[in-house]
Amino acid sequence: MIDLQAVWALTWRDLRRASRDRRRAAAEIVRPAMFLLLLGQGLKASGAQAPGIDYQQFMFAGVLALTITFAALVQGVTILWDREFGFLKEVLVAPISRATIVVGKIVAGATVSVAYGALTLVFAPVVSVRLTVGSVVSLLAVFMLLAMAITALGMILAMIMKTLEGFSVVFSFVNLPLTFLSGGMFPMDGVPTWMTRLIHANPVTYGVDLMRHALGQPTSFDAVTDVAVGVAFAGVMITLVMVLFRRE
Amino acid sequence: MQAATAGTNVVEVEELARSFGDVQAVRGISFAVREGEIFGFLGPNGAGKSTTMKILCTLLPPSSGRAAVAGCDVVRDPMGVRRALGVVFQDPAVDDLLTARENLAVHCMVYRVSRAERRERVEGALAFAGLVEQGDRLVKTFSGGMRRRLEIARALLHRPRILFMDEPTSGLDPQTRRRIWKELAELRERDRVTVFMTTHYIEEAEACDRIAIIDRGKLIAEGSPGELRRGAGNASLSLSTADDARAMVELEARFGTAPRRTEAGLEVALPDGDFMTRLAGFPVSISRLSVHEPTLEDAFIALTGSAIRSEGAASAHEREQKQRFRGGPR
Repeated sequence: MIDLQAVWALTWRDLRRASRDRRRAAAEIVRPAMFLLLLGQGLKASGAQAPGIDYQQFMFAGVLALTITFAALVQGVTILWDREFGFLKEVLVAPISRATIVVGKIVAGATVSVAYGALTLVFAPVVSVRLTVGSVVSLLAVFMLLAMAITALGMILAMIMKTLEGFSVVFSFVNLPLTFLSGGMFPMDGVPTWMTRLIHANPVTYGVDLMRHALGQPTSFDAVTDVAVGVAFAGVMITLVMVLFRRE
Repeated sequence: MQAATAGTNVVEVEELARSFGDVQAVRGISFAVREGEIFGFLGPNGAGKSTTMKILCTLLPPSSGRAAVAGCDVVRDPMGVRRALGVVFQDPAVDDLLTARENLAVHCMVYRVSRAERRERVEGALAFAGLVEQGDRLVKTFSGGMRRRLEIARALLHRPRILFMDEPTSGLDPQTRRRIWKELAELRERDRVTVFMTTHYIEEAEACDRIAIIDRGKLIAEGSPGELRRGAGNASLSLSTADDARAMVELEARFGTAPRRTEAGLEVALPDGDFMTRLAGFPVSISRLSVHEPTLEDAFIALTGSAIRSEGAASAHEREQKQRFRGGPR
């Protein structure tokens, strides 16, 4: 049912497009730098602490999650451009299933996001986070899982909002809570109970925790729980996109 | 209006209808497109052309009726239809941030053109579009005509049985339009590809093998441009004479119909056959003589009661006015 060659075609196309968008690449590099170096340094200097780990090192996983979430949401929304500029129609009349188009778009968006996530890894030495081949491979796998779920979420929002204007309004309301309430920017113990509940309900939290597993940092859940929640999150999002996309 | 039995029909449409809420965009149309012909769907904007085209491309389900492309029903076997299709949409659908070659490569991958054949197909398509030199340029640097040529070449990349084009030369300059027409003619000669196109340009319809005229969601005529022209009536003769009153009497006697006075002089309907002998020894001096053959435009006006509305189509209100003026729809 899923035509892998077509999935690759859509992925290749999005990677090519992303590679030509220098401004976007610059923004994707500068954003984590701002958070990690400016905000992280500032918070650390004002006394912010994380249990058993340097504050900036603690924030590194949160910033990686921020990059992935931001990039994947944007990639999901590119379906609106695809519709506006006709590419969507071009694939809708091709002899490939609707499921292939959905999976292709999600894999494509996730791959581009993982590429930006990989770029963010260059800041690891700056905050003294040590990377090994093993930890990088594990991180990339976590990126992919999280990015697929969030790209699907971006597509869902795009299909509900229908216009780019509509989407830009929702963007901050979705993106910021997902990353701020993920246990990535500040430690989750010591926050009010209502916030703990939100953090636990946020699927990105488990992605961040999984990154900590990969980095050898103190974690809040076991890896199996993290993977299970991540897979469930991605599964639900992708299913929802499939359902919504039938109307196209 | 049943299509002739000669040859296979690549498109068959029966009593096809589509409504959007209360608006009936297509109201029960039937026609067939034969293998290897260029079939034009002529009508003003908002006549139901694009809706019909979307149904045939499996992008929109019909409200009722039946449509089949290459023997596959558009509702029951959309995949079969899509395999037979090449589509050029009204709005450009090429990827700005990719080069021409990359656009074609993506299409090859989506359509499962084998890796071994891909290069040859892509280069062939670039040659067809006259874009070999510009193959590695980003499409965003292309002119409207270049994009359109690339799109047509791309739609043909997987060797479809039928090429659907929605207003293919709309918004292009006359020179580009002529070039695209030449390419289509060559294509048909070479590959016998069937072409189904919508248009609101009379000149474009003239170049088709057969045309169906659609107006307000209904098919009102179908035939070759020649047949439709002949349907618009006989040719007429217009002339300026030294004495119109006397000439009128003389013309009526010789041609058997009463001439009309026009701004330029007189006009009389021409019967079939030789007209010069009927004018032999005409007693009034004639200073100007011209034969007016009915055009497709005349046929269109005769059939729809109005000239084809070009860009910026008539509003619903205007249409209503026209309809009232004509005494309601036929």
